[in-house]
Amino acid sequence: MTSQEVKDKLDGVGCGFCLAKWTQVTMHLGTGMTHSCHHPAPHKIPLSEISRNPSALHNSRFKKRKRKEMLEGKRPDECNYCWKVEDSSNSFSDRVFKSSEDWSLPDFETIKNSDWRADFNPRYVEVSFSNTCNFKCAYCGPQFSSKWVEEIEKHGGYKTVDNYNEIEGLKAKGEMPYKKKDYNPYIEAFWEWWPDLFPDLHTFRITGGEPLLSKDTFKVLEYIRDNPEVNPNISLSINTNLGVPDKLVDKFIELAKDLCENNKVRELIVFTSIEAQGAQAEYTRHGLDADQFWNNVDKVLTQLPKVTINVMATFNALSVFTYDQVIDKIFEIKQKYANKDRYWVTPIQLDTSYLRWPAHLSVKILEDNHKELILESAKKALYYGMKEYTHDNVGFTNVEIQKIKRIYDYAKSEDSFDVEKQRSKFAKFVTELDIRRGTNFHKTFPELKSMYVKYK
Amino acid sequence: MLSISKGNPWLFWPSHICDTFPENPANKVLTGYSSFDLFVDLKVNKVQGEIGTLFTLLPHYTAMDIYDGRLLFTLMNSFNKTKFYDLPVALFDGIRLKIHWKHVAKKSFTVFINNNECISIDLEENGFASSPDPHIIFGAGNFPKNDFNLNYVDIDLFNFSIEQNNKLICNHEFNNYIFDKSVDLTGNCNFINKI
Repeated sequence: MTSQEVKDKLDGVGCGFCLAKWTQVTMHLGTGMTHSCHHPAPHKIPLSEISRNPSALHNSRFKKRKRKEMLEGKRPDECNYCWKVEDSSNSFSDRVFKSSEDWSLPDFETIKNSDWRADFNPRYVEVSFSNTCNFKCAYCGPQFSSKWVEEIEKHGGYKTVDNYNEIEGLKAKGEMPYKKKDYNPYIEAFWEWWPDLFPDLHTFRITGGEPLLSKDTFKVLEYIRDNPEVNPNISLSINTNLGVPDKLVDKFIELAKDLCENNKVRELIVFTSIEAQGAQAEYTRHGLDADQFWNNVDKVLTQLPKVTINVMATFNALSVFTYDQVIDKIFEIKQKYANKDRYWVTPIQLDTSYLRWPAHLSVKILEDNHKELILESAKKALYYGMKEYTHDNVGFTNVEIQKIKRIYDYAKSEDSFDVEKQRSKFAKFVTELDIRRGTNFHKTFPELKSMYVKYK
Repeated sequence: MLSISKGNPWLFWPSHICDTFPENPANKVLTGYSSFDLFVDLKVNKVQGEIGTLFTLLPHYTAMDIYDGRLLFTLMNSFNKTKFYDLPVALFDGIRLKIHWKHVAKKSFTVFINNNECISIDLEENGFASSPDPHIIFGAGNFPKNDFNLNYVDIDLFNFSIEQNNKLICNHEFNNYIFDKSVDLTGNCNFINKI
């Protein structure tokens, strides 16, 4: 079915109708928040709702009211990202794309004919069990990292004009994450719902914090292992920083091996992150041991010959000097671990996105000559390009190359970005970061010394 | 220098790996709509008794061929009609040929060999076959997977370059390779890769 046909079908119900409000959910159980589709902001799930109905983790009253609007031909305000796209261009919005997915469209008739008060089991589920994490990446924050919470509780927010990563606002809104040792009723609700949810799942993705530090992640894997007949068609994805103790990585690999070798899942994809090499990577992703990271990549791809690793690189101002080395390394791995049994064509995939927030770490703060290094990285990826997108070929794919080139285009684009202000914030940020973490920005990033000195 | 042995052709198609990069791939200059100058410096290792394609512009076949000691130029016009031209060049094993195609849009297509004009074809009436995504194969008349009109040949490439409006947009001396791709010395990423 074409995108236009899907749009017509959706519009036949209402101009704001989107299947993702039913079929997709991201649940932040550490904070008790939920949203369907990543565009609307997450909302808090009242404890009173999950005590009566654990599926309120997805089927909250708030969300049901939005579904009612959609079924009655209205456009919920929270979905205005799509309305802007639809009203300002002829492009299809994510409403159309997400409704077109094979985890959405088959449920069209059921949803169209449903009562807005009815519960619906989603097909595409992302869950974060907690913010427990052993890293505190420079661009992350307390909502997603317990290490960040510890630092902010000790030192307060960063004095970068806007009190970067302070937690008073989260506390005021009741959005502070549960601590690992504390009882979390949202997780209890999840497990109550899970036996009913699992059979209907198309895709299940575990994010964090660091999922391998959560016993709930292993509980999910063990459940799938022990109930292979219930949903062997599930697509399973696990995020991990690949920087946890060896015994946890080994435990994950052991379970994953069982799921893959015995076809208990349709596919299993590991999502991880790195966006620089060596000491510069370790500075940005505080807690990372770069050697350990790449050793674990080797370990996963060696022991799990069907699995693909997707590297989500959040390209930022501190990536630019060593990203070409990341490309070299990933190219080496692509060649070394290529086989025809992988779930995806390539054993490892580099998914480069540009960082927009916090703005003081954006590539837009860089000098022009440093921005050119991004183009050089894109050229390198192009020369390592794959001749044809088949299991028989290795190299970087069309999309991988385009995404790197897009970073350069973004870095060079003209917009309202206040370079002077953000460079100043950047200098204050790394100064404070060095004091708190005992790091040495000058030594790690000699390339940025002159900019730092000027704006300090 | 790039030695292309029989059955192992190379490809100039810098737009075929990534949709958006390079931004202005040099193969797009060869669409037929605009003027260009194309230069190939090569050595033909064996001529006598050989039928082979030194290089061809596809998908519409415009090419330099050898045919048992003769040097041929083939041009496809805008009505997809092919015409063969016998060029006045004496061939021998190991001959070095500096080939220059000069295309003046909607006017003429001229072939120079070793700086001598061999033929000039008037395009005003029948034009030159155009294609939105042209590419060049060196050492064959087609992609090996197509398994027809292959006409493999054994050649050494010394230089390949393209100019548009007297501006060099692609240049290969075949001294620098990355992952079976010859590096474009202009920095424009108009690579040539092993098929």
